[in-house]
Amino acid sequence: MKNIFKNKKKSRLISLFATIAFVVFLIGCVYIDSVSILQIQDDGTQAPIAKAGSIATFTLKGHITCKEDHGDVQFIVSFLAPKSWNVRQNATVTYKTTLATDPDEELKMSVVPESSLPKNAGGRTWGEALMQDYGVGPNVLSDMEWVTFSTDDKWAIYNGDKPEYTIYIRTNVGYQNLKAYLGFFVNHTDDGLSPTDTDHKKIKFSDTPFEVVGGKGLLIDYSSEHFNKVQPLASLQDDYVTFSFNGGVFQNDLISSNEIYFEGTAYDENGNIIAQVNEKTDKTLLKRESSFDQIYSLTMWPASFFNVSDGQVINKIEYIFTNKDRSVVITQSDDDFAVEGKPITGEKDPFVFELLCD
Amino acid sequence: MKSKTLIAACMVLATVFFMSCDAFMDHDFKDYKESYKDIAGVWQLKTVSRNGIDISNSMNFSQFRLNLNEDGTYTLENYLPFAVKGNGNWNVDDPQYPYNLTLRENSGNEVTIGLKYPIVNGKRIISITLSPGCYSNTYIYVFEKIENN
Repeated sequence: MKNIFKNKKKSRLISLFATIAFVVFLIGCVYIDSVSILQIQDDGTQAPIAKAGSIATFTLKGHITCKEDHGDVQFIVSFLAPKSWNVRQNATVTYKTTLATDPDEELKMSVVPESSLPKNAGGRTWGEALMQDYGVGPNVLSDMEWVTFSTDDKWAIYNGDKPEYTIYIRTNVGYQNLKAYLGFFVNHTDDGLSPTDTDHKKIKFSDTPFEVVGGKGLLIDYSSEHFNKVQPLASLQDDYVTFSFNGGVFQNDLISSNEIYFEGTAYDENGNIIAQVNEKTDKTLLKRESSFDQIYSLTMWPASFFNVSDGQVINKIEYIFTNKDRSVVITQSDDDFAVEGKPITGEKDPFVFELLCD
Repeated sequence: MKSKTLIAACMVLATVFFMSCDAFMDHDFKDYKESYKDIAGVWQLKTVSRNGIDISNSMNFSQFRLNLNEDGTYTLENYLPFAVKGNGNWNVDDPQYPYNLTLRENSGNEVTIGLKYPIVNGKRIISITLSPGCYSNTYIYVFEKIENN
């Protein structure tokens, strides 16, 4: 008798779990089928390149397999791009879907305000949660942001529906020359970044980096490792700026030095030298960030570091990394050789950081 | 015997009832006043975060002091990038619920900054959000009050 009771209880529990699993499974899946970051060039060809200041269009195609009736749902798309693009203000996002009466009509999506939190992200905003969960994907510089948009319309989808969608993200690519992988994420408001589920959300990064050309400043390469790294990329002399030497990415002799130093020269907008700092003291000594990697960093307040007087404005900083007796130096020329195989001829060029805010 | 017990129980209940009513008179709530927050003092910069990332250990920030004097003047010691550059006068929008700190430099420049004023680990702190450099970079300075010995 006792055994029968136990078995009944067990089978009820199994049924309950099976029902829960069935319901979770039934809600359906969202898919990203393709991402295109190609732009039409002047010669009519297509390439992942845009001119500075122009509007680029990024296209995301996908579908949903619906296994349950679902009402009043808004679809979500999040876009990872360099902060300098200011996507939140500059982007226009539209979509087409076979759910609509006219599947060729472009419907509107709007930025999700910071105050509107995803349902299951533990109090984090969409941007915070995506940055914590997925970071900047294959990029190596972190001055990027996830900006989230939701459909203005709420949709009802029914069991058996297999709607397709195309999302168009049109945004000004800014005036900074750069190269970065772009990220795309889809979800819906009913799921709201549920941590245990991957059926309702999908993420995809562009297969190749996207490039902005013909703009101002030196090329900022978000997409590949270099000996040097500066954070934040958009900085002025009253910011705290971190200069890092990444000694683990390519073979070099400096990494075996006990102490690694920063040497820098600050210039004003006319190209005149404001100050040169080449002392080998605690002021210029880089600190190792952690024992797990070979990254050494120096954070400074540039105005103070270069002893800038009232009225002077630093326009750019030329810098190198070196050891105490300066017998080994790592410069832009060394980086070009390591990354692109560009031969070093004549005097080595220093790294250059331009202090820009846009 | 039974009726005596019943009467005694009723009396006890009645006493408790009336005492209870008296203990929660409305005027007690009306008389309650939020205390004035003592913002004045010497505030030492303890932690700095840049765009959400803690950079407190990247530089020596701890020498920076914000002295909010009782007489309404303020001074900055061992200056680091801040909302204002020079000394001057200070006040808060509401002494009971201070949400904004206004710093008026002697030069006449006036800046109002958002203020948070929680107690963390038993110590009063003030947290100020600012962008002294590029507008796209946001820093949070957390100051701890230096107690007088």
